[in-house]
Amino acid sequence: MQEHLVITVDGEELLAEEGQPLVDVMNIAEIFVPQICYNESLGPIQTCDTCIVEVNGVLQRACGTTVEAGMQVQTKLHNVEQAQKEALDRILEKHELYCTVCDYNNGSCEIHNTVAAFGLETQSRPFQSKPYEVDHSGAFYRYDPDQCILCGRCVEVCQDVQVNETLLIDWEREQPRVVWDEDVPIDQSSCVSCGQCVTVCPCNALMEKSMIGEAGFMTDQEPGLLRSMIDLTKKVESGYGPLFAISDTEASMREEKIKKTKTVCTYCGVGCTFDVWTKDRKILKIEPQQDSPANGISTCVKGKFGWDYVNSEERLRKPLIRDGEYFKEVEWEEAISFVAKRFQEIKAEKGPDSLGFIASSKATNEESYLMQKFARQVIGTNNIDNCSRYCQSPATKGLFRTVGHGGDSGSIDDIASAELVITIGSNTAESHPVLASRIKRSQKLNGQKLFVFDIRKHEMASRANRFYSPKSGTDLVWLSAVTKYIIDQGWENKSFLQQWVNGLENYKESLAPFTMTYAEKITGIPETELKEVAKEIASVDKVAICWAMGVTQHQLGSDTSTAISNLLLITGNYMRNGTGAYPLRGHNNVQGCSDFGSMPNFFPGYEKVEDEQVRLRYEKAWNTTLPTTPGKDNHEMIGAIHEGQVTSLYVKGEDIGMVDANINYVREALKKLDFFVVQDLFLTETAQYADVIFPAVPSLEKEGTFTNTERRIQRLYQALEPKGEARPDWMILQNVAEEMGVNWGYDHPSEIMDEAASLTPLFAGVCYERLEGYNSLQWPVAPDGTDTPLLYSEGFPFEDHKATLYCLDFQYDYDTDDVYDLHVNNGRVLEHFHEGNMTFKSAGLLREMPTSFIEVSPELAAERGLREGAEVKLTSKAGEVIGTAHITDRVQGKTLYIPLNSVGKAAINLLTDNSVDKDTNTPAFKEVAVKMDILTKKGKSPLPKHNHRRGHRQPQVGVQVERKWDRTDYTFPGDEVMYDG
Amino acid sequence: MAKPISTIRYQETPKEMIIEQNLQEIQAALSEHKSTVLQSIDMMAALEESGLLDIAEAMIKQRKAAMKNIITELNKPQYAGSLENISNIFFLLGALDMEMLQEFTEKINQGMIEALDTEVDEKTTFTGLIKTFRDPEVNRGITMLLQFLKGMGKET
Repeated sequence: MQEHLVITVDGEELLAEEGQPLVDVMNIAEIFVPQICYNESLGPIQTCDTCIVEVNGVLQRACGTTVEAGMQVQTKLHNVEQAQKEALDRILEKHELYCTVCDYNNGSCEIHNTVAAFGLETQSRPFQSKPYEVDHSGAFYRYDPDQCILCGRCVEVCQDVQVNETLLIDWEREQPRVVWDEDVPIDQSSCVSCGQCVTVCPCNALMEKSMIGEAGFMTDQEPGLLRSMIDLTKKVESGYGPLFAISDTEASMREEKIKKTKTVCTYCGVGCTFDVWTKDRKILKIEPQQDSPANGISTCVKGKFGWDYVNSEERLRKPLIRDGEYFKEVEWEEAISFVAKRFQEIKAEKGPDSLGFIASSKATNEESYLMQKFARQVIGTNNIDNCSRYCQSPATKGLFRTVGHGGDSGSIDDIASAELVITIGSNTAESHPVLASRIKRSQKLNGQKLFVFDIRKHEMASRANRFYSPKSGTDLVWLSAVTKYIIDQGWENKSFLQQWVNGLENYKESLAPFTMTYAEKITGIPETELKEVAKEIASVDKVAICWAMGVTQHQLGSDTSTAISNLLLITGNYMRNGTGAYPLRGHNNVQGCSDFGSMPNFFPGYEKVEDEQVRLRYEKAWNTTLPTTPGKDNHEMIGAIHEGQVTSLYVKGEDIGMVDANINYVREALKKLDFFVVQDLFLTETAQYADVIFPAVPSLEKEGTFTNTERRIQRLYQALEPKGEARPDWMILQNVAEEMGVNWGYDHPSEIMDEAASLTPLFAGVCYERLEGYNSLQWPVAPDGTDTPLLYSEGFPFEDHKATLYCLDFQYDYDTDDVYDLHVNNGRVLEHFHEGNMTFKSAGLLREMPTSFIEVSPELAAERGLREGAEVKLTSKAGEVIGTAHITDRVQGKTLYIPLNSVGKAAINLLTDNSVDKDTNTPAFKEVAVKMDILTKKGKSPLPKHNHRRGHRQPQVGVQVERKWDRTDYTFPGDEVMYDG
Repeated sequence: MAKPISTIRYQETPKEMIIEQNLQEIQAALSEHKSTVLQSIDMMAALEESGLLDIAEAMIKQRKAAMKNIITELNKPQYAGSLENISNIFFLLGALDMEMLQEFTEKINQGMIEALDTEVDEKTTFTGLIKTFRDPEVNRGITMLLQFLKGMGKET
């Protein structure tokens, strides 16, 4: 419980919390005090001086004042007003008000609103232009120093929220300004274009390029004319009263043209939410909100700027049917009835299990629900799976074995509040950028420790307190050895184990082989280091472990995930805030797609298809008999196509011909299909093999819900009309079902959710009304709508409410050899999503990273005599790729790295083979041994000169306002006015 | 064996069909907003009759050039005073006491009528001037002017 205290503001008593900034208390009580630099999400910055009030007889900044019991505050005294006016005058010396012709005049300009609310009528001192050019060099936003008031919000957010540490204010120069790195143009800097500086800028100094000339009615003019209009505006609208009257009217007129719609990002499992601003089909900007549950004001470059694919000319507009050498466009009726007829024929001829269905983890929960309902009810097969098979199934398996729920133990807030965060096989800063920022902030400001285990030295590794590169695929060994050492030392959490955990004795015995000596031998991490790791884990109260594909995409993916959970159980790191297991979900809805039943062995909510009672519930609701045994997963379906057991496939929003392992083998299978239906936005690599392609719509053109990595269900609203004749996935499925004689009769996705909630105990209380706007629910959700941000607080979902320690051994047969002597690692890059189908349509993202590459370590490059830009051929047992080398110390020794967005001859999955996780059939994408042939010794670097990886970060805490105060030309406005009350 | 295909043969919607679809949409909209449409037609007719429609059409078509000309012209120094006065006049109007101003204006008007009645050759001697003080109308006028000067000189 926080202590409450009482302060007096203008004679009125107010309740405040200890440690609260005074300005915050006044804002909550709606007592007006001007403020420009203060932003609740950033905390006090103390640069603008406008919030000066009298505190116990002394003039001081309300934002920089922490409340104390009995504090006497005056806001209406003459000298207070004089000081505030002086501060505002200083700001208006730096910022020219030409609101009517400013693209930022959308009702949210904080300078405009503050000056208007204060009632300032005229400017005491004229605007003074600064001697700097506008910086247009970046792809996504521009900086206008002339309009910048040096509030420092951008620096604050870059240094301490995003923690990319690019922006600074050079306070010492004659005319201070915001600088990038060591004062280089934006695109030469380490800026990752997360856009958060633009989001928090209170005025038009930092603006999205997509807004410029678009937002206002009169802002789209040639630069010279715009200047003339600014001058004219100022002459006609002399005095702020008239200026605001006209510009406020213009701002409200803009509301007519600009639509603001809440949506959920589609680029990773973090589940950022924000408003998207659209004008007709143009996307003007993305505006995250303080109330966005997962991300607050944060975004990454893709979420903030990467939406061009929605308007891409390559979008499919009409259904396509294979016709000889071409696809021909047809009407919906024709396509639907053709598909329905073929499905019926194949079902009648070869049985329902000769059809397979793959749902999309990019589509909504409702669409996952309908895909499995279609497979089970309309066709009568459990051959339904989704792309979590490629990534996350092993993590889910490991959690089911030990703690019972296949999801993150807590929320992102819990990761941020842990004392120690361990990431294993996760390139968090590029794959889950907004979540990574929370860890980076906690580590930078709050003393959180970060241990990184990864074979690649990515950004998180370079920031880590401890960084280790175990031999690929051996994490299970060090995890088990550390766990064993903790038990041997008597550091385990005995009371937790006794009360909440089964199987301790057996588990202890199973750990016998995992000695520290063995661990050092297998993983390559020195024994002494591992002992220190064990000691640190045992000595802190709250540990959270995050992991990703570096763990799961191995033959022992499920076992390694289990070992992580075992370690957390032994140390009592479950059931409390700030602790737990966090498998970081890769796609926007990889969690939800499995949650809502697109799996061969589970109904929605992870209820087994073999469970008769569960099955009866669905049979009754769907008025049919359902298959009783689990169907085939993705991997098995591909195998079954080769064997002729599966002859028809329906793939929704997945490019399995690119992202599945061993794509030569997968593409061969697709060729063998009798009938293949693909539903997508684009004519993808996979769709090229289809007989029928249905044009689907992206998230901005439909309604529904996504579930993020925190198990958080969030609504998306429709911002745009479907392009061409494309339709939402749920509607297409309903059309085909109806044509096959099953009329579902849904008018809106909310009705699908209502049905799912009524059948699935895990989502009992989920309904659209409870998810209005920025509201969200974290499953399990009780019938009364109570959700569960923290799992297991009342025990584990087993009969005796106890978790289980699961015994493991280590049998591993992957390694490089004399011929295939290099190990290939692969994964995402910040700029592109997955295989690139969406992000390749964005000019800005392509400019940042136009091609893929093969990362080669400096040691290996020296040994083989190759240089930056060399053309190399990699050959594995499954296939070969040709790509361009990029020499970097992010990779070490004989390890290479290929980004997942590699296409054509460079596609990583030409190298991967059919080996899989033994428990879930998830492809072992991360186990590729190759030999390397050098085709050319050197060439043009595949990484552009302006890529952020070439920049030089400038870490510091905050904006360092003290340096402003130290300037000889600075006096505190409070000191300038008389103390006469 | 299905070979991968990457070419799409786009369906060309016949022109007649597009026209037909568009017409249907327009017809529906017209029918739904019958009275608005009729009123608009009346208004457009009135505008045309007055010649305003021509002007508006020409201006809209030439808006970029027109905007440039006007803005460039208005930004010349000779307009600066007038432009600044536009908003200042609003403030002035607000500051004036209209009732008093009306009364005062009436009196000025009366004075002007008298002044215009004056013969051009008529001369006023010093004694004549003193004598006129006795005239109650002149006296009232002078008193009023003196009061006005007093008020004008007051510090605000």
